[in-house]
Formats: sequence, structure tokens, C-alpha cells
Amino acid sequence: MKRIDVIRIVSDTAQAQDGLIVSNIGFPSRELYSISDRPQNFYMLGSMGMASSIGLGLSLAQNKKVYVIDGDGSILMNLGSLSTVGNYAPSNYYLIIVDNSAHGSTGNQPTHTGKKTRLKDIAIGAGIKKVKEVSDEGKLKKALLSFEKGPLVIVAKTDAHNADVPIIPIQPTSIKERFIGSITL
Amino acid sequence: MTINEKIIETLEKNIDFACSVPCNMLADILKRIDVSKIEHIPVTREEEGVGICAGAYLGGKKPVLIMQNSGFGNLINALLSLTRLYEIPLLLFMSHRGDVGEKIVAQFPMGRAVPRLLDTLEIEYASIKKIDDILKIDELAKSAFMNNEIKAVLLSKELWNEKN
Repeated sequence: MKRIDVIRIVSDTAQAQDGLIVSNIGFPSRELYSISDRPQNFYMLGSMGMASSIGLGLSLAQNKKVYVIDGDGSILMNLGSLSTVGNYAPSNYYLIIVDNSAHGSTGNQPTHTGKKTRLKDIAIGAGIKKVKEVSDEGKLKKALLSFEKGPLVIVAKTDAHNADVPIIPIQPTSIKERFIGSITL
Repeated sequence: MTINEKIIETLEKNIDFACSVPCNMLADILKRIDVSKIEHIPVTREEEGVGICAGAYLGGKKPVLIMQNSGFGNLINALLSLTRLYEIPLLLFMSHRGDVGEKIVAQFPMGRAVPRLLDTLEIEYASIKKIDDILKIDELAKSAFMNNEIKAVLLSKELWNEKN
């Protein structure tokens, strides 16, 4: 399974559930944009490590389901976020960590999850009750559909691979405005 | 009305969502936030608070990040490449350690640097030193949400020393 396969499944699920997506900096956002650009996608263009936190604030502030597409390198940069999620995340919070054991957007430098670190165990230890680790598309779809209520964390094990996708040509303020518009509709 | 009651009243008028990283100078204010109308999420680090506040704004909230000024060094990238890049409003509500009356030497470097960092980053801020200055918190909060900008207040120890 590649990252773009995970993103396609999350995007399809979010659309079926009338949900919002917060996508991580770099290739994750670009791959999401290339698969399905919707106003309900918040493409995080900077602020490395902050996707899970933006999603948490969003899920606390409104009722639509929030799907965060994060990465192993990114969540390792903001591990405290899992602790805040474990204690405060509401039931509309879904965090999908694409774990390719690499910093994909910066040249596939290896991360600690390819060695001894297990994100699933960290998430459980942080207080999150619903945590699934999956490594194929069928199990990912099943995990996303089998929990009507979160907070849910899915660690999706993938190969390190970046799709050949363009840079997102939308201005940050336009991303924000259409995103807010899609919530308040 | 005490100084901290007045501060909470001012925040409640403008804000409905807070993230915080604790500071001893703000301990009483944080207790009062918990029983105020403001939703309060204690976070693990300042940068995380910037992310949560940005998400809360996208979902319709008016956020404040309550913290010690020493933590300002922990959040600058997210503050600029998220909050400012997308023109998201945020009030930074900071105690000003390492200033007047400071006894802990480790507070001096950031205490000196933060006002200058705010200038460099072109973040409008006010030093809150006396009870009348609390009006500036109101003005800056309103301006943040009117203009989709980051505004900051630095609360000085002098504020609580003032006889009123």
C-alpha cells in the first residue's frame, strides 16, 4: 500500500460522511489535491507537525467529522498532541497516520518507526481507546467504517513513495475561505 | 472587581476558546478560565496550542493562547506559516517573565528578547502594567478578530502590585 492509496480511501470516506479533511504539509496535501480537490479539504502548506492539532481544534469547534491525514515523521514532531487528543478529542475526530517510516516530502530520510518506535503503542499510552494498525486497503476501509464514533487513530503502514503530483495552485487565504464556507453552508 | 476578575470579564467579551500552557503568574487566571464561559483546552506545548487555536477558528471559535513569554520561542514557525499565512486571527495572552521583579535568572534572556521578537515579526502588542491597561486587551482582541491578525499582550508583574 502506498500513501496515495490511503489518501484516496480517506477522501472517499470523508465525502461519503460529509466530513472535513486536514492534510499534512508536502506530498500528502498534494496527493489529496490531485485525487479530489474539495472546499472541505484544508491543505496545510506550512506549520510542520501541526495537522493533528489543527484537526483537534476543528473537531472541538464544530460537529462535522474531521479526518486528519498525518505522517509518522510529523506526529513524532508533535507527540504531545496525542496526549491532548487522548484527553480532549471529541467523537468526530479521526486521525489517520500514514506510517511509511520515512520523511517522505524531504527525500525519504528514515524515521524511528522503521526501528524500535511503535506509534500504535504510543497512541494507546496517550489515552486513546480506539487505535487500529492496518497494512492493506481492505483493513483500512473496514477500520474507517467500523467506528461510527471516535476519537479514532489509525496507523496505516505503507511503502515510502511519493506520487508524481503538482504543487497546489490555490492561495492560502482562498483555501481558508472556501473551507470555512463549506462548514457554515 | 479584582484585576483578574476584570481580565476574565474582558476575555469573555471577546473570546470563546482558550488553549493554555501554564505559568505561575497566570495560575489564578487559569483557574478562573476553567469556570468561565470560555472552553479551555490545556495543551502540552505552545506550538500545539497555535495549531489547535487555528483549527478552532476554522470551526467558528474565537481563540486565545494563554502562556508564559518564555514559550514564545516554541511557536514561531507555526505562528507565521499557519496563523499568519492563512490570515487566521489569534490573541496571544502572555505573562512577561524576566522583566520587573524577576528572581529567576533563566527568565532574563527570553524576557528581554520577546518584545523585540514581537516587533521583528510585526505583531502588534501591548504591555499590561496597570488596571487601566486592561482596556488594551479588549482593543487588541477586537482588532485581531476584525482584521484576521495576530495580536499579543504581555502581562507585567507590576499589574498585580498596583494598589487599587
